[in-house]
Amino acid sequence: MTQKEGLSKAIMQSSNRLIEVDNLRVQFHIPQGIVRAVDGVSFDINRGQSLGVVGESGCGKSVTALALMLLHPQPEAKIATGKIVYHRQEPPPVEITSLDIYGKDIRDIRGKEIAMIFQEPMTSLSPVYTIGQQIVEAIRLHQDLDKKQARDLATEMLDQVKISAPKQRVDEYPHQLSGGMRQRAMIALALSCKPSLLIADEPTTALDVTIEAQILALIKELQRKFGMSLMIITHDLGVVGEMADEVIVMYVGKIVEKASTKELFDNPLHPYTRALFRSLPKIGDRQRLQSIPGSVPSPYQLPRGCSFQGRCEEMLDECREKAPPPCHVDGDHLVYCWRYYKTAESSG
Amino acid sequence: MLTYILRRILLAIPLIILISILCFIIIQLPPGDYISSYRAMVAARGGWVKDEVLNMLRERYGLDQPVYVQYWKWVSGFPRGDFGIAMSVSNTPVRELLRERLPLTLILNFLAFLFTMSVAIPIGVFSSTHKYSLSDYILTFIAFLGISIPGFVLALVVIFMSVFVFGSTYIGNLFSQEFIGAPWSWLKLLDFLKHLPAPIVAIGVAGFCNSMRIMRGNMLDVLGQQYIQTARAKGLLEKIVIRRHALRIAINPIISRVGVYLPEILATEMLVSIVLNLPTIGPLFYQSLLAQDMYLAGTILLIIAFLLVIGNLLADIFLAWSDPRIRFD
Amino acid sequence: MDRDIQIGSKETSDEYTALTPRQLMWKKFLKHRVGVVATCIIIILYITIIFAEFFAPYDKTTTNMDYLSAPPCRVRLFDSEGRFHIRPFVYRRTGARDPKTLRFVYKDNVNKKDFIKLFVHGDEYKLFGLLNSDVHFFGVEEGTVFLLGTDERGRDLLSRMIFGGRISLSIGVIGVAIIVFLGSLIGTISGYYGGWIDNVIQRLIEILRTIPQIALWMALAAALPPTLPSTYVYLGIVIILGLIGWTGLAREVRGKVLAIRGSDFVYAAEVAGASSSRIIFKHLIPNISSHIIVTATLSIPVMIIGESSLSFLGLGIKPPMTSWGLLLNQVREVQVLKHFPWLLLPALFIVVSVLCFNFMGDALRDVIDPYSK
Repeated sequence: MTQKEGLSKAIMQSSNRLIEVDNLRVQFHIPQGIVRAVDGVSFDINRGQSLGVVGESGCGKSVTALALMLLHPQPEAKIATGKIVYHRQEPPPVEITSLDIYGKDIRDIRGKEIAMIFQEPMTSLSPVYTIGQQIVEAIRLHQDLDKKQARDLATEMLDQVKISAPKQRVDEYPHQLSGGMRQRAMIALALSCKPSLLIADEPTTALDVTIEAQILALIKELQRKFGMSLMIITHDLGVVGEMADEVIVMYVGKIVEKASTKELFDNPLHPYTRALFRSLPKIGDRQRLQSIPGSVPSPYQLPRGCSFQGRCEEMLDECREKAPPPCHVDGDHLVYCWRYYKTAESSG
Repeated sequence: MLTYILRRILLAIPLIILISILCFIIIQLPPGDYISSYRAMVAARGGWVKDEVLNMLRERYGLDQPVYVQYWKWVSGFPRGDFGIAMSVSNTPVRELLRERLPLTLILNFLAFLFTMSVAIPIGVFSSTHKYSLSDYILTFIAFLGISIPGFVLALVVIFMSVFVFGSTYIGNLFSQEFIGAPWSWLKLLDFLKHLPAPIVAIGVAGFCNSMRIMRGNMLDVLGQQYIQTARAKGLLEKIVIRRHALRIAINPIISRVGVYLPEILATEMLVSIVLNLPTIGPLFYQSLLAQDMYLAGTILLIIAFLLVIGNLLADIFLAWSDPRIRFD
Repeated sequence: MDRDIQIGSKETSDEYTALTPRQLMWKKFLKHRVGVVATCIIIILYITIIFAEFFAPYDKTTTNMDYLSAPPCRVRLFDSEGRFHIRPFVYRRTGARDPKTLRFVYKDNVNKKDFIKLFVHGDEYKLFGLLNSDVHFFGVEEGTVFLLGTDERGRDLLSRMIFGGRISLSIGVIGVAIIVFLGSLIGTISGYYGGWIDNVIQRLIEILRTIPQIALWMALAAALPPTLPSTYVYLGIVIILGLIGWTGLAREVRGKVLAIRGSDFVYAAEVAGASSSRIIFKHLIPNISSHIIVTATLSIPVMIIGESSLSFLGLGIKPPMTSWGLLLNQVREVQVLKHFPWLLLPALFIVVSVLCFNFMGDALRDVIDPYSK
């Protein structure tokens, strides 16, 4: 791509930009020490786009998502540095990181413009209120509707998420619904105020495979219908392939690779990403599953240099010394790995 | 919901019957023949027993007859309201003695319970939302202190404080001299209210300390749950999240614990009432024991147990209303 | 890139893997400063009461007609002329009856200083019934030192409190031993065998728990024959406390047993043909023993408070034995409280020992079973 083409593309994208995250660092202050859960993460989400965030447990993907809504656990977690900018329909954009965590500004954004659904539908809904009451609570918080209108809207949302007999379900308690229905109810709740961004944190991990397919299809359909952006967090590459336009791969608080989904699947570059793909079982393949040797480093004793060292089969000397910078390979494909630093340099 | 209530009531009945058997065993415990120990008890106070009194007792309690007849004679009167005769209180019918004491006992315990909960719950919530702060540590220490002070010591301290620090004369008994035995009036009510703070504080402190810590623990558990995060993600004010979502659920284990808590509060009330000489059931029980009037003691024990079973039942019903998960069991 | 912030513990992972679970628990316990302090206080208390005859300056029955209802004497380091003495001392007091109030009033005689010394000779005693001695931990050679005052018969309160502590604290321990035995046994049987045995035991526990414990204790204690000698009363009280108190522990044990009963290792033992008692004693009980220790420690305060309450009411320990509760029996009237407030001090000891046991038990529970809260 020429510089000119790249520039015009950048300009076009910036008007389309919904969320900009710039060098975000979130640290947990606990008695045992400081844990750098999110360690210098930068990415963007455009309008109408789906971003997939892949990584194993503990890599910081959930904390990143929570930070977008300033929901990182208090009082332990603090945003140490970095900026999160949210572009509304009308300017000016809001710098989320500068808002008061308990203040009105962020509360106006939560639920109304950015919404989130969580992993465990079992425990994500309060057991002592009906799902109707819980959805109505969100609706009346952000929209000026009376009780009846809100209730009707809630019932309609339940219908949108394809829950059968919504008029009855709206007065039922969460424990009366199955796991799949609970997750649908959660989605109804999240979308009730038509947010611009839906964050889905491992929405199907706790569900059966068949239900998983249905829920993912539902999310995709609603995303198109409401013109939302989607940030889907998962450890499952299959989900990513299904749902995301663009993917970032995280490892121990950092992004190691960023690319469009097609590009990532066709040409995974980072050794960690490659290892993830290799560890997937393939139908017809009778070989042993390949696991990644070694284990994730202790969050209290992160090594100097690249965090993947010791488990990487393609290590160089620099890997032990310094953390790798982002290397652009082939347009929008970004990799944080020393191996590609030289190649990127040499390709100019 | 109705079936739940009915089921609980049905289960309570055999429980009461079994407890009555236990109380009867206690009545029979002291060695020796009841008549002779009764004679000894009266003699110790410098009196003697008339024969017709002895015959009446034999008749009422079946004292010459086999054990199961005695049990029946004792217990069968209860549903009719015949609670026997208090031998150590000049053979007054027990029902008379209970007439004023029972309601006062209930009122005192209920008020102490309210006091405990209305202090423990807010402080427990505060403690949980300010975890590890200085006030949290101080409150935790106070809580430990509160549960370490025996009820009677607390009563003594309350007496000391009331008389020597606050200069109050409303100590000892629930009514001033002039109102004892007098019919109810607004003045009597006022006098009653002025006597209440001391015993209620003495009774409530231990319970409040325990409940406060439990509330704090429950809140901490609940605040770590996912649905709290969902509530925040909706954009709710933190204080509404705490009150409408966290507290609402954290309070349920406390309600379910009421069944365990009621005997404790009653026990504390008994001790405090004995020390403060209040006209409730506790001191009557104590006096009957000192006089070795086991029939009176056993009867009171059964009544106390009965009250507690009812209280338990009410608490269970309340819990079912409060926590929908229980209803559909 | 920026340097790693110095984070986390300095110990390397090697150190951790070298410690056994027991050592880890010990280290964790030591981190609970409050629990450690509480445990030290308890150890000091128990040492004092075990060697009560030595630590107490006087015998518990020694009366002193010259010092009836005397307030605590003031230990001084500076005398009336402002001179400093390394050895603390007390002024000898003379008592006289105030003609108006008819109560004893005590005045210090500044000319007579009685120095407090360690290891003085005093009343004779027989330690553990074997050793004859008359050496006391501290005291005065002439005169008297009543650090906490005397009662209306002129008996030193401190000495009586130390001897009383022997009863109060020992009842706590022995009572808990009974509870542990009964509670563990019954709870294990109930949980392991299930079925109708479990049902019956559960009903029994429910019955016992419905009635307030203190009421049951009072009723049973009152049923003890009034003519029973003091030591038998002691035994009776201990047994009564244990007999009613086991229900709490039994329920906890039952819960734990039910939880691990379905475990694979129990199943494996059953399949291998192990007998029930072998499974119970070799597999189940060791696994719940730490939990039992915690519950037992937290039950000691209940015993102490129970005995104190009973003795305070006159239903418990009888003279010539004395306990903290019995010592408080004399303070029941407001007048006594007003004029002789130092007689309330045994209450302080009760509170302190109960508090320490609670802290200790809480720390233990954190260490052993952090999830049970």
